[in-house]
Amino acid sequence: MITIRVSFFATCLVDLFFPEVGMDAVEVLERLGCEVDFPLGQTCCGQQAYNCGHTEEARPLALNFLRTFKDSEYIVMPSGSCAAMVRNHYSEIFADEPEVKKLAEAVGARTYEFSEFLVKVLKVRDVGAALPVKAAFHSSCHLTRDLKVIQEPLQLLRKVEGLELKELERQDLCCGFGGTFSVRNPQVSANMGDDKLDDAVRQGAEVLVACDMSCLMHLGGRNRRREGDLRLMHLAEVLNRKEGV
Amino acid sequence: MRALKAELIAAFAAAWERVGGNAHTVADLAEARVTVQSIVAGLGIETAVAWESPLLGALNLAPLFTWYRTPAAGGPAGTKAACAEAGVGITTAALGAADTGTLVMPFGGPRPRSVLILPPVWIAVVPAERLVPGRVELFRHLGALLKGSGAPAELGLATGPSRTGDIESMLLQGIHGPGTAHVILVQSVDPALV
Amino acid sequence: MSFSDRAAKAIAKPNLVKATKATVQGFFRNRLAAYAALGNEQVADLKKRARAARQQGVANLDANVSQFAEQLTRRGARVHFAKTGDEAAARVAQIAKESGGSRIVKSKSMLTEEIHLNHALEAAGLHVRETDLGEYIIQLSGDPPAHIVGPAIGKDRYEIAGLFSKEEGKPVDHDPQNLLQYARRKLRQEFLTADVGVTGCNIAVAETGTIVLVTNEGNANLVTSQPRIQVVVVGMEKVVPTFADVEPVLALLPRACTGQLISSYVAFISGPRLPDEVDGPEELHVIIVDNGRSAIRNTEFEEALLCIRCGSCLNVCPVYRQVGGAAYGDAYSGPIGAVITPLLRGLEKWPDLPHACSLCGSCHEACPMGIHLNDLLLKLRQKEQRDGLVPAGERWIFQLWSWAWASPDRYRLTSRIVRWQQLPFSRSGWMRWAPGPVKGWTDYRDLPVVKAETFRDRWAKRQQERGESLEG
Repeated sequence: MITIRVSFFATCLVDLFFPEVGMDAVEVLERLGCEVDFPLGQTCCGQQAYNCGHTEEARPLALNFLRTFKDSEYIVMPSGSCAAMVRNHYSEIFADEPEVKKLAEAVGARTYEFSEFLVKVLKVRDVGAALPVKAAFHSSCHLTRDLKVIQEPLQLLRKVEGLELKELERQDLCCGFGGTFSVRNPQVSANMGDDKLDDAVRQGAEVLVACDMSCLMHLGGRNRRREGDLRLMHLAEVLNRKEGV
Repeated sequence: MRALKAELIAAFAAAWERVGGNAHTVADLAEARVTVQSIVAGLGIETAVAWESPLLGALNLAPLFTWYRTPAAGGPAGTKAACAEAGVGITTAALGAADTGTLVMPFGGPRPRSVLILPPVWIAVVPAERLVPGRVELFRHLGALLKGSGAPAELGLATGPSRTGDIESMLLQGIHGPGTAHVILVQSVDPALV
Repeated sequence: MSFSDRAAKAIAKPNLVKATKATVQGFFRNRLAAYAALGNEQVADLKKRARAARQQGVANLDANVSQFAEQLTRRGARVHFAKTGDEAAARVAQIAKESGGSRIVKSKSMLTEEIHLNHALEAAGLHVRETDLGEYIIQLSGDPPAHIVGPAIGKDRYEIAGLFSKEEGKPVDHDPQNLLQYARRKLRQEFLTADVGVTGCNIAVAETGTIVLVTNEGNANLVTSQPRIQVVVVGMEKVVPTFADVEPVLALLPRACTGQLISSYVAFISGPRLPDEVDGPEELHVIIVDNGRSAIRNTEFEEALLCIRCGSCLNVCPVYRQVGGAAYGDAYSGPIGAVITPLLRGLEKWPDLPHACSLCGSCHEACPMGIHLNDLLLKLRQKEQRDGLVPAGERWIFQLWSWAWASPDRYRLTSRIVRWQQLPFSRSGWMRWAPGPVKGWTDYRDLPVVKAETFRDRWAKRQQERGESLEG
């Protein structure tokens, strides 16, 4: 069997705030037979600046990403929004720089969001996980609409032993994070988060799962403030659990 | 041919009813007249305004009402006033699209807009010959009407009764146009009248 | 007032928010059902053809508008061009005054809201009455439209009864049928005594000089049949080249708006009444309006001109449903409002609208014309940069962050510094209060503290324990 070498991009949110998610993702990839490396030059994909219209400020971060990962065979990250940024928007940043644009397109073609990589490249849906909870899935915006990764997370969740998948009434609705939107329009952002959390609770979910820590940080922070009982987990965390077996 | 016509009639009637209209299928003009009579009797309607057309003329509806005004008789002011007073407006239609229950209303001298839109009840008498399956045929016909010589200043499409959802998103009928819309689909009509 | 402030006002009205969410959910579901009934292939085909029709309309705008005007003129209509909204409104007032009339009825038109027509007409001493039930209700209440398709969302039967009672000078019962009959009677008088009827235009056809008007209420039919004078106000971007172009647009518009197959009434108007007719306008005036549209043509924002005002984007927007239309501060709300209000009125006057959006992309997904509203919002944010509309503080923060995080060493160092700054204000790894730009976050959510041991640190430790190289 040919070992697949994966370069892991932790993302700034996972690196700084939720390192356990990164460890879970790496452990799942390794258990599935990948050899994982962690290019030390990595920082952040730059989407925060880009999404605010500060394209120039995103550029150095994008260049750093391309420099760091240019020799990687597969670049995998536990974030739909970061993968979408690299794959779909780096070429816009370098629209007027043909050489860099070409590099961006080449690197983008090798960039994958975590669940997408498991299902599409490793061709795995059952990772041998077990977690006996009632869980609902929030399909984050960039993951579904930008990256078009729609079925893969659900296919993986359905194979988790003991996990009862509940369907949100509005799985498609944005959680309200939206980058700096969360601080420019904090009240609206919080209300959007409330609707998502209420939906999960109404469906009888104990756990709300997503593939983006941006969504989960916002929803998790709001859940804490509301003193809610809901548990928020990244897909990688769910897939690295073997509980209640 | 017959089967197609029967299908079109059934489809049109279903579509018309789906949007809150009342559809009647009759064999001939005699039955159509009886239907008109029963509709107006049931609703207590005594006054009518109507388009002038050979088809409606052949129906001889005037005796069913206390007064029955057409444009020729009324002139502009008289006709509009009659339309504002009348209990029912009676028209034909140039065409009916069966998929949506839509009637083509070619306004003109003998066929005022006000007959369709002012009275609270609307009765349209339509020969089944004039039914077409759907949008494609409808637009072909509309295009021909609008691009030909003698094109009307205004051509209307009307599908069932007047409606609104502006009060608490409740679907209510009869806000401005007629709240009750009857279509009488006539299976066979003398070709000279169609 | 900022979008945030207006949003706060809206959020303080829970009934409005509840009604908004329920209404858009209904519209959204109905649109999906109507599309499902057609099937994906047909929907895709209609969207393709409708978009092409409007694109060709805009691409050859001058020729199409010319032909439209010529055809109408041939049929006896009078065509006017208005560069600005004020000019258009003034022209309507002038037409009314010259006709010797002072009573105006109008059907629903977003363009007339955009050009503040009613205000101009009233200032000129004319009486103008909205006849669309929803528009009539907000005319009485003085509110801006709550939604492109449903102007009076959030007004329940009690509030409507209150408005009608005030207008009538005596109590009007709140039963919906009663409210309906009241409005029918009251507005019927207006239709029958009006000198001038004003409408907008849903689709304008160059080939045949035809104005297409779409309503469920039939009020447009009354507006165009009863008064002696009719005025049509139409945005220059609305002209499609041929009559065949009407079909895909007309197939999509009602389905996208409300899930209907077709609206109850469609009027195709090509001229004033013919000599032998008893109703219809004796004079038909068509005012073709620019009001900033020509400045959008041939720019990166041109796609915004394809909008057919169906409201689909409002119905899926996760932000709009929380705040309703008034929060957007102008005639158009939701994603399309956030795009065209700054474009038509000036980005410098509306710098926060492009940020009233989480960039979720649902709007583009929902739009029957395929407008990339999310991309246009991002482009507006980029334009704010270029135009110097971004506050210095914000620019400075992003520049600092960009410099710091372009290098892994500076990234690590600044992250440490952030952690040290957070620690005094945190407990058990969470902050409940943060100063400065992040305060908005902690007003509603807890904020995690940067971990003592980041992923990078944990990876390094693990690699060491395994006796493997640092990068792996």
